[in-house]
Amino acid sequence: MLSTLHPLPKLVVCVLWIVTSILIFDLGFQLVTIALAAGALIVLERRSPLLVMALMVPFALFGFGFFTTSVLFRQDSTFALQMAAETPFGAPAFSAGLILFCRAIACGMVSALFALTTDPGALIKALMVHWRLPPSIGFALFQALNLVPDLGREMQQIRLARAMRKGRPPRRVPGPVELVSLIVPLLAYAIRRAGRSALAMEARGLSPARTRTVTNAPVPTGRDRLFVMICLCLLVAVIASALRPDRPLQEAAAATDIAHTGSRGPAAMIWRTSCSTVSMIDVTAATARSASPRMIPSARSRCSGKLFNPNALGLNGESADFSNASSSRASISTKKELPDAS
Amino acid sequence: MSAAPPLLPEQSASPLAEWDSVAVRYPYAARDAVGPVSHLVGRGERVLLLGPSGSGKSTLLWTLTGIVPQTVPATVQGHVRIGGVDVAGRPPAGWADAVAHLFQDAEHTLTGLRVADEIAFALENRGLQETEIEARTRAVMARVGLPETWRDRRTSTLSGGEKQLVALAATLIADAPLFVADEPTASLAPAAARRVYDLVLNDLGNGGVLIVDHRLDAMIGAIDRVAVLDDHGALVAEGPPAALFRMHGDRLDAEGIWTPLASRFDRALVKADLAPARPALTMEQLGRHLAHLSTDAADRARAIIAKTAAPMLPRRRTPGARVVQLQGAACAPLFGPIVLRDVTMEIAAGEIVGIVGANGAGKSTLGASLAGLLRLKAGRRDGLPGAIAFQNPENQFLEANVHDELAAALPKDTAEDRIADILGRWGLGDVVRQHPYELSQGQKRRLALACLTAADRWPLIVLDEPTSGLDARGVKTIVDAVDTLADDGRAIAIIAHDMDFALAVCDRLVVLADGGIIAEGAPSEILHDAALLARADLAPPAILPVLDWMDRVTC
Repeated sequence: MLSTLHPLPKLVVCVLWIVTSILIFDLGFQLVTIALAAGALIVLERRSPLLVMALMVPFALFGFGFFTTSVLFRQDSTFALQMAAETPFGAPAFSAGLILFCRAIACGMVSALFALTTDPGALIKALMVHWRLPPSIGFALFQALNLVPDLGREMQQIRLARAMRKGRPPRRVPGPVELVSLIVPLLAYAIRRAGRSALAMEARGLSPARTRTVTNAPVPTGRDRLFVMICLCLLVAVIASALRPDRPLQEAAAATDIAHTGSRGPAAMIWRTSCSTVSMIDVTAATARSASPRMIPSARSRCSGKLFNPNALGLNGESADFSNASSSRASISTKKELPDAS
Repeated sequence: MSAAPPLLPEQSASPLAEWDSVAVRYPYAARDAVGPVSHLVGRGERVLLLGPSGSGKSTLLWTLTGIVPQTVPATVQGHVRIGGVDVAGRPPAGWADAVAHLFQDAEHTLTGLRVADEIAFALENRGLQETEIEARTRAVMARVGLPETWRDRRTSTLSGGEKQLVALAATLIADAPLFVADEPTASLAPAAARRVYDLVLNDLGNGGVLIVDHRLDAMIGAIDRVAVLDDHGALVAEGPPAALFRMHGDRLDAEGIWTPLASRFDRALVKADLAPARPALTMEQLGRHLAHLSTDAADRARAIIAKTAAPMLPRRRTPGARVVQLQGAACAPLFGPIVLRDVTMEIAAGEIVGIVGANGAGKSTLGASLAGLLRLKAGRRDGLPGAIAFQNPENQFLEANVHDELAAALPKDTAEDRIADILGRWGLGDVVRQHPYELSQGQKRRLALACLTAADRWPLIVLDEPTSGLDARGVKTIVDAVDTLADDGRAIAIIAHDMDFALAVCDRLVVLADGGIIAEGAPSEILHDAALLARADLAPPAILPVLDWMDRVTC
């Protein structure tokens, strides 16, 4: 079903969902994203659940790297640990790692959903027709797509030739040394082939100076509009669910964590992701929330764009000092942390 | 968008294509790749361009639309004109409406992901209406015989021969006044090759065809004029084929250039004063002449023809002990599905077995399985490992020059002593320091075979289409090498599309079709079975009518 949709609206929806998945540092959001992508592949596209599970493996391995990094190399803060003890996932390092792990799978599954339901040729044609991709680049992409299986065949031939010299059948999977030794001959093949293909295309009239027709390009229909609307509604609903105001402790603990230590804890992620930009006042507010859980609704309202005044929180002196002292550090550390998190 | 002047007006007196004292030299080359050439292709004319490997035929075709020197750097002397207009005045793409160019390797012509995209490409570049492109795509697919079900197939899933047919359709759809084809049938099974000639050479109208090919017998009857280049790329002969081959055929044979089989018999009969008044160019013409000879003349003609045909017939050999055996084998390419099931066959020492079948029948997979390079999915293989000379010899080369390639194939202690001898024997002495990729196709094949045979290491050698794209001299070198190897006691398996070659060298043929072996036996029996040949998309060898006539005369 998704395979019949126009590639470009599908691309926009998938990119939007991936960007949101990166920005919303929430376990629930990531899990819902994974479930939706996997469900769409299994139910709508009739893909085998085993295949879908297998697809998750490389992304899970990638995410596992985030997970172990977060758990093993994180600086702890006393306050964060105390607050994290109240979270459903126990240790904050574990919590952050788990979210990072799921985020990698979620982004990967959305990408896989797009790749498995989109004809690459149709995508390139759509790009040429609707987004004015120059034909020279479009057909270079066509060639690149064609080259992949051809390179595979070429590689097998070279492997057979080498195996013949050694007098034994080739290994089923080439080892790292063999793989490295294949790079140069395959590169030479790709270059030769690219040159010959360029000649052939030119001989058949491909020229930037001519206006060309693109046949069989996908045409947007009402189904595509409906698909986009449904997906956007779904996305908004999932975002709203992720940001609902009944799950404050984890965010507050995390926010305080970064305010205290400047470390790569979950707080930095939450605030960087819940609000598009992080400012000194954001972290101050988060710190204030951590000191006084009662204030969390106000803090969240700031995040939603409403004005937040820390002085209006009625914090006691110790807490106020704490928040003021930490805010400057937090703003510096947050700026430093932003590229890592994204 | 450039405003191109109209191309090739229908009634223009100018020839379709014209080379005027053209010579081409590539950068850093010591001599011209081709030329000097002065030649015309007229309207309604079908011209065959012949020459030995490396004589610059492809280069000459590339000058026609300015690919050389505008895209491929070279120095070009003289003038090339299309319809009287100098080609230098436009980029190569500007001549696409006037010249349809089918390249030597179909894989390099393919640009789209699907068959329909591939075929529509040339018309899309002209900016035609989508409905017209669609109609013409369907029409040309029907004309070439491509099933409608192929429309959405990715070209990467097609076999080599199927790709060749798609590339042909993609070139024919341009409906250009001049059709240029560079070895269009090199990868095709015989029956498919005949279909290609029918498509390219018939219904010419006011257009013209310029074709380069080595398989002459199936198409020479439709050729109006032949132009011949020598070793150095100079034009040495030109004229109507019948007269040209009778007058210059012996010289062409000596230079290693292909001549039609019938013309070889015709020239032999001329020497005995038994030839027809009008030179025989096809086996049908020769057959008609022989049928009308008197009994005495027929006996004399038979002796002459038998002597001429002797090198084209296999020598009787006595096979030795079994070298390799497959029993109930299921053969599949690496990571691919099973393409052949329940294969049981064996090859003995000193035996030459031909593996024939349609494009995509699984010939190369069987060859690699025989050599022990592919693990069987089922069944068993008994015997020592073998070697393969791949269809694309480049896949076999790993070293930086010809010398090192041979040295790597030999035992280290004797390598230097033997290399000079091997280079001389295989005619590679002049290219010893060149990179293997820089050699001509014939030289690459010779080097690949030289490496395989140098080490005396493999009791079985599989040759995958060893004559593809070779001139007559190159094929003779291969035939001699195969004979020598068999005499030395090696078992040889040859994957072949050329049935005359198969008949000439093979002791036994194995025919593949429908996912298995459908026949096995002596070439003379297999190649006489018309139903079997049709089932396997094969065609009888060109020499067969003459052999049949000889049998009848004997009786």
